[in-house]
Amino acid sequence: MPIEIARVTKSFKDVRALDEISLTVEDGSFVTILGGSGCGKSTLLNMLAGLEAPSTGRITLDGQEITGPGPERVVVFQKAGLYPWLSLRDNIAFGLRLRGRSNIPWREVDRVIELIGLKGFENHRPYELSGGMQQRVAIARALVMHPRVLLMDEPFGALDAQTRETMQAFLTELWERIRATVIFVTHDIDEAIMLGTRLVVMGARPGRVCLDAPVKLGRPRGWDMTASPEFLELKRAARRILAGQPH
Amino acid sequence: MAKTERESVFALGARLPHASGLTTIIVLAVALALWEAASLLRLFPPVALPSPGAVWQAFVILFTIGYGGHTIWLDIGASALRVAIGFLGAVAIGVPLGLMMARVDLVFRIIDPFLQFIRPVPPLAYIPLLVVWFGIGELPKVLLILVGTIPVIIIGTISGVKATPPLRLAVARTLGATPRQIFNLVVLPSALPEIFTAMRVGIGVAWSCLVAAELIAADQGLGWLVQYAGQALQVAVVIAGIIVIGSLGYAMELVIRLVEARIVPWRGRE
Repeated sequence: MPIEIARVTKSFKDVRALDEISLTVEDGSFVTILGGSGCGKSTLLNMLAGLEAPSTGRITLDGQEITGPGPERVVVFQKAGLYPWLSLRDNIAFGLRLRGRSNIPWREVDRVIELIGLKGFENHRPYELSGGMQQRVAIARALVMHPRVLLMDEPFGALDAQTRETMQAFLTELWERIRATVIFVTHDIDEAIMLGTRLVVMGARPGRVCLDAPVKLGRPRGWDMTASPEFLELKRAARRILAGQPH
Repeated sequence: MAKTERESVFALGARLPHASGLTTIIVLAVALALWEAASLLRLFPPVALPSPGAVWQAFVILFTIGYGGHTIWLDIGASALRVAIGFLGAVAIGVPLGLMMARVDLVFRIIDPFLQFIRPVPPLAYIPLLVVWFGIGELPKVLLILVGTIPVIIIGTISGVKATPPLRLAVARTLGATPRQIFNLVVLPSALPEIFTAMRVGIGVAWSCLVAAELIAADQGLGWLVQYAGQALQVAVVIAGIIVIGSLGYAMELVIRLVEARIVPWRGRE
């Protein structure tokens, strides 16, 4: 199994943030982790990224315990975090450049730029791009690394509603083409169901898994599916869990 | 009637950004007129407040015949060179030192007490020490400017490093950057805008140290000129010298701003 989260807990000082989580993520699945604020979903993602360590339990990738960040587990954050002194193309190549400046596969970089639909913007600086375009660049910067798993922490949370919908469609279409393993954290119920092949809903205080179900919607996904019985059933179940939490 | 008035108000509003140069000219003209009026009305004795005309004459004399045996060009050259060397020295030492202090805690703990100690000491207080140690040549003058300017540069550099957005660091870490790569490729460029701010403040400090530096047995330089003329009660020459110092300081700040716009074009646009 590629990713195994085995009896992981996380406490900050005396407060227990996460209560014994065990999850296994298969290759090529798109797992969405849905939860309200304070349910520890971002903490879980940070532990997968290696930015934080579990208090107890262990997380392994292909049997190897995760002890720190690594380019096989790239994160796309809520904000793009692009480097304003680099062009779009150099931002995307940033992770590759860390491995050695002389052998950057520029052809691959240009292929990914085309994949995210930003051909012609190669030499633009990040501050010349819209929020949605910046987030596309952040996704491209992660994709060129060919990570084993792509970790996404509310990547569309800072965008306006219109752009968010466009980006959700963009990511769906992109994933249907590349079928990478994705773990996607969000607090948006519709987003969680529409994007995922599997939905994990977390409850809060302490954070725990309350629902873990496959999303049985066809591909390619479209917004008309939000009216389907499968969608509505998952949505009802998810809402019940999220509503059952103290705010 | 009312309609045209409203239109004219809008027209003025639309022109305002371009009119800022005009505002400066108007303010300068009004100040000059008030100055002329004050000297015509003899509000102050002419020795204390010479007329604009007298200061203009002082300018002409400074640039043609000169004062104290040489023209003002020599003073400008001497002072600009001292400020430039002292300032560039402060940047050349202060930026790397600030970077090391921000990166290595031990270096910070060694240097910081000295930094905090020299910061509140006025540059004038160093003069006797510098003369005893380095004599009365160019070295103590340049060192005085350097010592006065370097705290600003070091503190600005440290604060620039500390102000690196955590997200930029997290992105680099998850892409597999080593601590060294994070420092060189993320922290350093992130600190640049604050380093430039420190340089712009620093060039002002360097000029204000100049007058103190030229108390050290100087026979040329703008600081020397102002003091020498002041002792002779040549207030018109003093004012002319002050205007030249101010203009040169402003010109040097403009040069730094030009360099900044080229190197840190993203400043204020994120």
